[in-house]
Amino acid sequence: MVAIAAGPGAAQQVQKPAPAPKPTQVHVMVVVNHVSQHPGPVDPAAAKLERRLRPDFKYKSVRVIQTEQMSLALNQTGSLTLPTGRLLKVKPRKLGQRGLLMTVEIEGTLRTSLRVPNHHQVVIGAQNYQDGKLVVTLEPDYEYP
Amino acid sequence: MRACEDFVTDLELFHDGELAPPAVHQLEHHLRQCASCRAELETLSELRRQLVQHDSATPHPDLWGAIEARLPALDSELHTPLPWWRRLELGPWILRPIGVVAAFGAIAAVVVLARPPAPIDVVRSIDTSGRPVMVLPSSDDATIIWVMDDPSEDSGTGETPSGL
Repeated sequence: MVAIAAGPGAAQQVQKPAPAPKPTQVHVMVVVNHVSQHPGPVDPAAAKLERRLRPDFKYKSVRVIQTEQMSLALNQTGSLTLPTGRLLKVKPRKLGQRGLLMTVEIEGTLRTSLRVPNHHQVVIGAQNYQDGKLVVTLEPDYEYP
Repeated sequence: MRACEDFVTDLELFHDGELAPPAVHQLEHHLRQCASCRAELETLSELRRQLVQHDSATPHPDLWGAIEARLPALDSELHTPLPWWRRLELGPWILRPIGVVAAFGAIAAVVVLARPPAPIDVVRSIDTSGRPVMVLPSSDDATIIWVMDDPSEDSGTGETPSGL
């Protein structure tokens, strides 16, 4: 008589834990531009901005000062220092069907809560700088789950 | 009066009808007890319906000249002049002075130039510490927020143009 006992070493299917869901990542392209009424060239990198502003704002030159691609998780704050020394802060908060809820703050000047559709550009003219104004553009890029 | 940090995002989604039912129930329970959040919800509604006189003490010739030139064109496009309460509705080039008491602080005035889609759908709240600000779409895929110069500030150069 052979007794076959299934001991603790018997094969068991090991349940692998489900992989943790990837945190939602949002990419925000931030470009800091300077517009001025002094004659000068239009920076080719700022051509799109120039076309947007041309109907409503009088200026004679525009140039790109700095560019940063922020990759942020929801509720993570990205920041960069503007040429004026003030901080620009960007915080994506929630992804909804109608866009990304996002808070943008320019230290000492503006704080705004936005709902921004994917690839919708937000143009913020806020701080005076040198002989003109700093114009910050923000454009989110995300995958809606 | 600021909304509770835990509910700020839910308030906005709730206002837009996008909050999931379980969260709606939780938020409604919270609203019964929290005056700050109730005030924030009211502020979100005010942004869409309130009209105040935009008091522009200092005209901005570089900008307003162009805007004012468009208003007669708007009236002719619409065929009949709209009463002010209709100007909240969608339509091309409608000048909308709107005053908002945002949850984050008071602002002097928000002037919104609306081209469809209305920029008010992008800007949920805005605080510029009392400076006038203009919101307008430049196209379907962009919104412009422009904080106007504070006339009481010394620009330093003496050459900073108003409106820019």
